[in-house]
Amino acid sequence: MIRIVASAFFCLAGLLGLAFPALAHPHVFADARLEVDVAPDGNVSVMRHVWRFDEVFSSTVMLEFDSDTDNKMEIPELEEVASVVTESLAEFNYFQTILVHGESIDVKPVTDMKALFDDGQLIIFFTTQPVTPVNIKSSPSFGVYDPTFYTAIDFPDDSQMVLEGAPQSCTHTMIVPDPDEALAQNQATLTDAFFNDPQGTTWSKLLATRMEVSCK
Amino acid sequence: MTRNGAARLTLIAAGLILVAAGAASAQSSLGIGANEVGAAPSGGPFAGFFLWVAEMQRSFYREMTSALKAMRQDGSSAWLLVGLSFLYGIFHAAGPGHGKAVISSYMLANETLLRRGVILSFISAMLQAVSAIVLVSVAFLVLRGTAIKMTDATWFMEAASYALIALFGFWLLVTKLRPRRQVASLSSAAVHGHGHAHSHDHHHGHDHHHHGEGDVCATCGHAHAPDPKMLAGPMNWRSAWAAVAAVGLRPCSGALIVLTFAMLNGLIAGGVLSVFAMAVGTAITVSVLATIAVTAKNAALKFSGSGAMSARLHRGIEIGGAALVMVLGMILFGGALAS
Repeated sequence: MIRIVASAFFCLAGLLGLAFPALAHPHVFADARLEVDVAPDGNVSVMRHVWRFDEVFSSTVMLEFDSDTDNKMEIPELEEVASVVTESLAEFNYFQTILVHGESIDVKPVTDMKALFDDGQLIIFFTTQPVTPVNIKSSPSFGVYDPTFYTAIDFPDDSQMVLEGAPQSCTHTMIVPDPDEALAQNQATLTDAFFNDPQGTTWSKLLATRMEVSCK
Repeated sequence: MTRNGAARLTLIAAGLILVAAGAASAQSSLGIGANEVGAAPSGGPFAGFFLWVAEMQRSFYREMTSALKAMRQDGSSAWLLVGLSFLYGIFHAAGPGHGKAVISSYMLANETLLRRGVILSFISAMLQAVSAIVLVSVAFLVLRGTAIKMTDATWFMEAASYALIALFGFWLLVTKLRPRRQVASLSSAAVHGHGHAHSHDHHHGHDHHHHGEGDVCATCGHAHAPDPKMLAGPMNWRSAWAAVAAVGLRPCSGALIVLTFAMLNGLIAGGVLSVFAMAVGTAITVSVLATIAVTAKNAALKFSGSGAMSARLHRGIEIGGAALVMVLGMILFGGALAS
């Protein structure tokens, strides 16, 4: 009996050893800028995004979309890039995580993405709007994160997170979560998420670089 | 649709160990370039370790991209890129990817000798490098300017690789399940079968068009049972090649990225060298993992002692390994179709 159990154990250990894949990791890096605009009524009117991609990913884009092979990206080629990226991002809520009191709010479909090439780097511009009104006084946070880990969206410093039109009493800070800490503090939630959250929404909430707003 | 349904069913059957692979998606979140097939970020008891691996890979990747940029300015930094690629290969293989899982499962199902596992790992890694070079060359020289995108071509090769893995696993499973009955009922014939080994091999000779030699054994239909040695004993090169081809068909995305950049900037030699360095690194890690799988199998067999119990366990492990290859292939293929 002991032998059977021991054998089963070794067997399982062998299978686990080969079948546990690790997390995917970023293949693409983008320096990002986020501007959150607040309307006079205190609701968020629009979030503006600028993502500047690394040269290596940009060269892949060039290879794929430069249809006349002149190593320059013309307007129709750039429009195609924008439409492919828009379509794909739509499946991931455009990497956006808007949280109000812990509740996450989706954004409307993006219709205005623009792409351009500058010095061998792809830059995209687009705006997002929350589907339901988000009042700035409700202390929302605005995160940008790729839940598939494919793209690393980096904000070089907190000057790249801008809050415009908010009342004087509102302050905002940029939070870059430490993955180890986030893990330690949320072990229970994450174990639950391991089974119930294949899309990784929970991870976006915990690990996204985000702007936290607080109003007195 | 049915393929998806089947994939989902097998997912449930495979249980916890394959939960992560179920989230497999070849299409990247940006819609450009191929993402790794790996775990979606998730929690669980190993999350800390996974995060550490991901972090290591991430910093390597950053180093590598800056080495690429340096190489564009100054050709002599190509060696830095080659070295980084080698290290990247080692770490990358410890991360997501199906190659090691298939090779290890195949080893569980077939092999007891470690040397073979090491050879298999190296050949499949080299084939992956070659397939990356072919894919990027075709994309650069032929597909460029056409409506076919490299992302699509990559997807196609991935899907083909996964389908082959599923077929290969199915065939392994069939060969593992069938002889059991025959060996049990015709045990004397099985022993007798040794003498037929050569003529049996001869039969294989004219079966190269078929996908798996399982078909041959099914159609052999001769008086003698398949030689059990052929199935579990010495290296079966034909089945080994099937494993290698199924794995190697899918190029690694790190290699694609390095090569694409290198080609667009006219640094072909540096790019090709780096891709092979990456393959050597990958092969080392996969060899280690395959060794662990076989060692665990042998330890289990040793523990169970000798006799009927051990034989049953041996068969159980082999069938389990074969089933794992098949399920893995189906899940990955389902994931590729869904994306």
